Amino acid sequence: MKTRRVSHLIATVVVAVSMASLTSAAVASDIEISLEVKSAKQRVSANRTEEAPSPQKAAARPVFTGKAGEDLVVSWKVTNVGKQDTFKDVLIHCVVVAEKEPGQATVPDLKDAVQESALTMDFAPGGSATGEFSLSIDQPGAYLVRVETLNMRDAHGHEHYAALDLVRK
Amino acid sequence: MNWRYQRYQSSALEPGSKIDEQRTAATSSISQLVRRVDLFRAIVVCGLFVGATSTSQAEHARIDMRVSRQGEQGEVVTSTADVDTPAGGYKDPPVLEVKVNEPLVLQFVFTNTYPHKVIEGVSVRYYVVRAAKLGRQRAPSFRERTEDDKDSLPLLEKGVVTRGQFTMDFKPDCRVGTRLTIRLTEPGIYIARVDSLNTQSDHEHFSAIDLVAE
Repeated sequence: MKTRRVSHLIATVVVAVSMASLTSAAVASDIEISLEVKSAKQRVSANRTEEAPSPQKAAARPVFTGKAGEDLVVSWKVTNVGKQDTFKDVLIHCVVVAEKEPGQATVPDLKDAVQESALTMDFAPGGSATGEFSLSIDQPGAYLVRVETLNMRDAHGHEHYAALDLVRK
Repeated sequence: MNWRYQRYQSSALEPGSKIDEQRTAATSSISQLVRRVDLFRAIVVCGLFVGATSTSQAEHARIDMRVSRQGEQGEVVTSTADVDTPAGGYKDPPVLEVKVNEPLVLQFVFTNTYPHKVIEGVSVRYYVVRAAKLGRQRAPSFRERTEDDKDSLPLLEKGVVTRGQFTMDFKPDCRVGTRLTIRLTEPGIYIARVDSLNTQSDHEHFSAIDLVAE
């Protein structure tokens, strides 16, 4: 009788652990995005990959504060860190666009984006794409710098993005 | 075929005879046919050569590039794909005259049309740089920035207005593109160019537009 209870307890624990690991595997991001803005004097990175949609509130975005006439370099890297799935026809979209204030929750209208780029690629396990470009901001204000995946939600359940705010004084 | 040849050979043909006339006519028509065949062969060979050349050099990429002025007239100049080598390609870049400090929109879409396989680690660059002259010319050489010295070497060297690069795996029909606003702050000649690197081919593809700022 005691042995039966112990085996029942073990089975319960095993099932619970299996469920937990399955759930975390399903939630864990298979795509990692790193984003960096740098000038001659400073650099700010956003290494946290957010998911959209997500029940969790996105973390506060890092802020890069720059001066007029500063030459900036934006660089990003998108990697499939998963070991099994290949994500087909993923669209990587990068945009620099003016926003009302740093930390703005909604993505601004991209009609007047300062800079916008995109590429399409299949991401095999371990596969990555990188981008790097110079950036010069004429007008003072707050800008959103965001790198995101598109076309993944239908097959994968969500998209991914990394973002930071750029304040040009 | 052989029996016809023997029949012609066995006939003791006198000049001006009916058979001789027939033979002459036949020979004439054969020689015309041979000429036609030679011409046909020449056309086919030329066609194959041109086709092979264009296939190997021009059909791996499609580039739609444009630079537009943002003023009242909104003038737009467009450019399509060329090949390198030869250095500078085959086509003279179109020219857009602009004013110093006016906003210009540079836009391109680079489509990989090579249908056979995925090419890993391809780079697509774009840049606007000062140039010494208009017309076809070699791509400017940038200092190689390795991971170790990336922080010490600036992305924008002297004479470079803007610059960017993507590195990715090229699958058939994949695309990469950019849209950005630039200003030329000094008068002079500039070249806006998009090009590929590391496509594992004997040539690369590019598109270019010359800009004259006054």
